[in-house]
Amino acid sequence: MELNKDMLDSNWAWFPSEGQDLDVVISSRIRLARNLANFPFSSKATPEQKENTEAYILGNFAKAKLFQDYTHLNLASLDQNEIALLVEQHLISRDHAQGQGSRSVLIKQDQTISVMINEEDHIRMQILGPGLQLSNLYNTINALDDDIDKHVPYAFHPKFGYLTACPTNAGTGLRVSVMFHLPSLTITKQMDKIYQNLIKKRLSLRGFYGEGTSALGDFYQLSNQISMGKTEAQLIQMLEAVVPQIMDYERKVRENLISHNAKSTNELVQKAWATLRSGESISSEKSMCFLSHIRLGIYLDIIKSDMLPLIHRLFVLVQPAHLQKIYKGAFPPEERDQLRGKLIKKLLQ
Amino acid sequence: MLCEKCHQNEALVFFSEVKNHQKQNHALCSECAKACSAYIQDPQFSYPLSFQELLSQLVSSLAQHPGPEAVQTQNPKCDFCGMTYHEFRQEGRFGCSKDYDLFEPFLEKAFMAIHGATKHSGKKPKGGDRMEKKVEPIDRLAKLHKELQEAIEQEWYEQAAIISREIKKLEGQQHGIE
Ligand SMILES: [Zn+2]
Ligand SMILES: [Zn+2]
Repeated sequence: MELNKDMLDSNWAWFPSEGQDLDVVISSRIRLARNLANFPFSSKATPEQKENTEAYILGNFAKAKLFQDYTHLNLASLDQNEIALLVEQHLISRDHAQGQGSRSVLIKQDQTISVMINEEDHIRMQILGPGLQLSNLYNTINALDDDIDKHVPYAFHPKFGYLTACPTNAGTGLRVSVMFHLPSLTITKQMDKIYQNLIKKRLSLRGFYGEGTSALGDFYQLSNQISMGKTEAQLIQMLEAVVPQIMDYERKVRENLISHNAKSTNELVQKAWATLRSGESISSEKSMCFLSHIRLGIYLDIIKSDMLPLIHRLFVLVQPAHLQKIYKGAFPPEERDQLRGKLIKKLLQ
Repeated sequence: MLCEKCHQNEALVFFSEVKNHQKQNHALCSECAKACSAYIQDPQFSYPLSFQELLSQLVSSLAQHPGPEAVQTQNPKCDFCGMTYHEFRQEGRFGCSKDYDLFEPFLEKAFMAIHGATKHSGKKPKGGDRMEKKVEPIDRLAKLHKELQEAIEQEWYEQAAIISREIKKLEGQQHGIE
């Protein structure tokens, strides 16, 4: 079967292979939700109104010469797999993918910034970057927000702040996230304890990949749960205060795995390595789980560290839409599992 | 939101009517409601409410903790996007930015539960100058709502009626600004 070679060499800014604290912290993300004052929100908009909203926004962007170096993708004219690819690359939300009618996304050339139009909110802009750099990313997206503000009348209320479709986003419209890899805390079942602690601090932790609560590949996303009553800087500080604690916790448990559970830890990593190299049929969930154990093995000196970039790439490529893009087709799940096994074996050799 | 008939007074009575198999939503002031046959025939309201009853409905809906009965009868509907308060409660989503003004009396409680706060304290749009002007009347509104609640609790109905008229006037002005 012929492979789409370009896909295999892709790199993603939010999945770096070097950087500070990379053993635990992968990337940072900032999202701003904005709406226009004189257009109904998506849920109450007729197809025609959605069209008008999108045309108005894009028209004003064009007049202001904003986003000229961005790629504009109209979701209504993309095929399902292309849309799913954008979700797997974290460039659009699952809601945006599953939405209806006029909706699109603007993507910066280096894929660090994307602006969704007609998601739940009229405009949702996000920036993704490697490592822990929330303030830095905020400054960039804040400047972009200022640029848009000059040309589009935002819905703003003196008391409630930026108005959003969902009351949970009102105020700043800001969601600040840090993505962690926490395999040790997951294996040793410490995550519940962390969830409980974070709820009290009005922070939330969710899986970075996949749907629902399960965290595929043990990747978690820490975010602020509240968006009103605190300034943007305060919300960022709320997260930054907790990040070192989570990092320390994961690192301590890793040390413990090596010092007290060396044998079983070694077996766990070796089993993951052997399974993935066997080429046997495998689901994306299972492969993410094994890749996670291999990544852990790299930081525990069980696996050679030069494997890291490849393991990172595999985390992305084993996802269904990427796999179908690589093998140039649409396949039923069982067939995908076989192709996935083959691909992983091939790349790990 | 103004009364659809006289376009003078603030609408206080919201009800629907089925005409030619089509549901029509109405918003009337208390005076026009009294004279409206569809309203009188609405099975939900077997007879028009007295002004006193309407006032108490208004007040309980303006109060921070509206009772379930008050919310049931007082179901404001957005004239821009069509969102009603019931629908908002059910779906947990606003239909447009104007709903924030329309449902404002109900929102403090919701925002306190969600965010532990009821007031934004972050960035403002650069077009902030034109937005700032709205701060004064809205803060004044909040104050009036409080006074109104107090008056009702003390059973000073005459004063309550005066304050409620003042509120309607202010809200009318705000709609005018937009
Ligand atoms: Zn009237
Ligand atoms: Zn509305």
